[in-house]
Amino acid sequence: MIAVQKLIQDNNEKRNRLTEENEKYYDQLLVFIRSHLLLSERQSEEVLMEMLDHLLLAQCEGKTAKEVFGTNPKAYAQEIVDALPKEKKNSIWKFGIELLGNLLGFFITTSALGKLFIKQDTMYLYSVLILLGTVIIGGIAMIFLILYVLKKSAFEDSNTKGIWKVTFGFVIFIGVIIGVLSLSKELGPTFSITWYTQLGIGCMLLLLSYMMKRHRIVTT
Amino acid sequence: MSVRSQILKGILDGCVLAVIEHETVYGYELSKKLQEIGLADVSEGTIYPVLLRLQKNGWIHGEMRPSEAGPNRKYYQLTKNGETALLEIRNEWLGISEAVGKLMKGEK
Repeated sequence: MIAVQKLIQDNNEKRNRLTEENEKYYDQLLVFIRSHLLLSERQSEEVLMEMLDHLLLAQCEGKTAKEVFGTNPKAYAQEIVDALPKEKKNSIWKFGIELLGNLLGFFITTSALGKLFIKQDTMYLYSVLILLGTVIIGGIAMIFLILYVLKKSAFEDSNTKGIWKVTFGFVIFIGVIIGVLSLSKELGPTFSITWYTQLGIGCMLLLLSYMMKRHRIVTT
Repeated sequence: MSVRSQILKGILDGCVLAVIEHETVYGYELSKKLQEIGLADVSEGTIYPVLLRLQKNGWIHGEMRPSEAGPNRKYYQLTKNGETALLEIRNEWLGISEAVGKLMKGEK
């Protein structure tokens, strides 16, 4: 079986051979289909490859993407998405944990480095839990926002609106974290953790997430 | 949508199954075969949602493997369930087309 990663690489290479007009059309299909994270990645990449190979052959015959896939790319892409099978529950969970490990690992590592400068080892359990919860929920909300914007703007000529939406979402995300930080100070029992222990925990999470990613790429 | 494509829409699954029954094909090849048979106005891309649906039903099995010519191609073949489904579609179609044929010719 051909690895999904290989399909994605081949796809990137082959897309260069499309004419400008055909590439524009095909890219819209690609972005829309890939932004559906809950669909089987293997099946999605396989059908994208089939469509690309087909379009390349049709291009040699002088046909355009419109003639091959119809004049309404949005309706066609929706038809493909409706027909694709869902990703296995197991894979979705693993991928979720991988993303979460990455997000938390990054956050914990960065704040460990911040700690190095403020020299403050005492932490408050509830404050920490509330903050981590906010980061997780906010991170998930950001991912959904980005996927939503990709789906919405795949067939529009300009991405400006989408970029503004994501920027706006990100500003709110940071704002909420700052708000939570200042509102949930010094709650719950205290404990002490040095900056290098925290750095270690953060790096462990990043390593775990990285290893899960390697495993995912090799096995799918 | 033209009258012809509306009529074809319902029977396209059956047509695709009938082509795959004869030989293992890949997408582009399949669309060429359908055109050769005379279904030229089926837009080529329409076969991909159909192929996905048939795979989801477990009627066909697709496997991506390298071809002699170079690119990896996804070759499709009929499954046991697909054979049964095709038989049913075939019987239904023959019944319907005979009845509709009579009606459309204006026979009593």
